[in-house]
Amino acid sequence: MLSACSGHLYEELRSSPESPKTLAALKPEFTNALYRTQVDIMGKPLSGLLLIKALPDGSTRVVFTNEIGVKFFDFSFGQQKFEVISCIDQLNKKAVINQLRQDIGAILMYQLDFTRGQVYQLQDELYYQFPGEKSTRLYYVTDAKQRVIKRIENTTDKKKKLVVELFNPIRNVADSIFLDHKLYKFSISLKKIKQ
Amino acid sequence: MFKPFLIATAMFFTFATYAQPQGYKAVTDKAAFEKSYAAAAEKTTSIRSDFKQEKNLSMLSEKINSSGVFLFKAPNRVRMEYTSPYKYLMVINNDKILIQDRQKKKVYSAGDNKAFKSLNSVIMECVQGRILSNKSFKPVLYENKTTYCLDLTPQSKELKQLFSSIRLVIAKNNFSIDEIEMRESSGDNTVITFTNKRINAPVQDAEVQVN
Repeated sequence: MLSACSGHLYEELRSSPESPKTLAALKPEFTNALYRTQVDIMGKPLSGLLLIKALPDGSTRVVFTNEIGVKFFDFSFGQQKFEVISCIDQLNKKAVINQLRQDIGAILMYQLDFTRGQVYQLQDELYYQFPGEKSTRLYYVTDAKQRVIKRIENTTDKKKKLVVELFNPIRNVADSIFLDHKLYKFSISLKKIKQ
Repeated sequence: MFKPFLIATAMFFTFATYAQPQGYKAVTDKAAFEKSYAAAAEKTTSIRSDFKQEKNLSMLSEKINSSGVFLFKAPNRVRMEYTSPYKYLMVINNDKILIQDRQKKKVYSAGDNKAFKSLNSVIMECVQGRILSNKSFKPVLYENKTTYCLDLTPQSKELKQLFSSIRLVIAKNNFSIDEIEMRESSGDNTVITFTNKRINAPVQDAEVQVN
C-alpha cells in the first residue's frame, strides 16, 4: 500500500523506480495543430476550432474561434507567464479563464516541474504524479510498454476532478483529446484537422 | 458559454469603418444604389453558391481555410454548409435556426434569444438588399467599374467588441455578394469569398428545412 499516494482513489498504486524526469520525453510538440472542437457546458453545446501553435520565442499560443471565424479567446502560454491576449467579454471571467488555463496547461505540460514528481505503477500503466493547483494532484498516466500518455487526471484525495484522454499521438501530439470534468457537466472534445 | 457563441454567430454578416478601398471611389447617390439593390434582390428567388473562407491570424502568421456551400431561398431561408476540412451546418428558416455539428443537431428559435433575432435579420437583409436600412450599422459605399464596396461600422458596444469593421463586395451586374470581410481590432480578419454563384438556380425546400 502506498501511503504517499494518500487517498482512496489511487491506493492500489505501487512505487516505481522510474524517474519522473522521464516524462519530459513525452511532452507534446505542438508546432502547429488545429483541432475541431466541441464543448458541452451544462448541456449547452458550443463548437469551433482550436489552434495550438508554438512560437519562436518559446511560447505557445492557443486560439479558439467559431466555425465562422469569430475569435472567442487567444491565450499565450509564455515561458515566464500565462497571458490573455484577447477574450470576448462573455468568457472573460476569472473562474473561466483559470479553468481553461489549467485544462489546456495540463495538456501542454505547461510549467510542469519534472523534478517534483513521483512515479507509481499499476499493472501496465505508469502514474507520474505532480502537485496540482489548490492541493490537488496531477497524474500523467502512460502505457509502460508503448511509452505514450494515455490520460491525465487531476484529483483531490477523494474525487477525480478532471480526466483527459489522449488518443493516437504522433510526436507526442494526440490526434484526439477528450476532457471530462467530473464534478460538473463540462466536457471538451478535440479532433485534429488536416489542413 | 453558449451565449457568446450565439452573439458571435449573430455578428456573422455585420459591419465597420475602413479607409477608402484602393481602386474605388465614393458613391454619392446611395438612394439609387439602395433602390437598384432592392429591385435586384426582389428578382432573386434563390441562390446556389460555393464559398471559401480564410481566417487570418495576423500575429501568428497563420491562416485557417475552410469551404462549403451557400444556399438562399426567398423570402427568408438560408443554408450555410461547411464541408471541408470540417462539417458544420447552419440553416435559417424564418425565425428558426438549425445548427448541426457532426451528429449533434439543435434547433433554436429566434424568439427565444435576441442574438438569434439579430442573426436572422442581418443575414436576410444582406440577401434581400435591405441592409442599408439597418440602423445598427453606419454604412459607407464605394464603387469601381464592376463592383460596389459597402463598409459598415457597428454602432453597438456588443458588435464593436467582435468586429472593428465589415466589408461587403457586391457585384454590379446582379447585386449578389462576392465577398465578405470581417475585421477585428487585433488585425485579424475573416474573408468569405463566394464563387460559382447561380442566381435563381433551384433550391429544394428540404435543403433549407429546419426540423
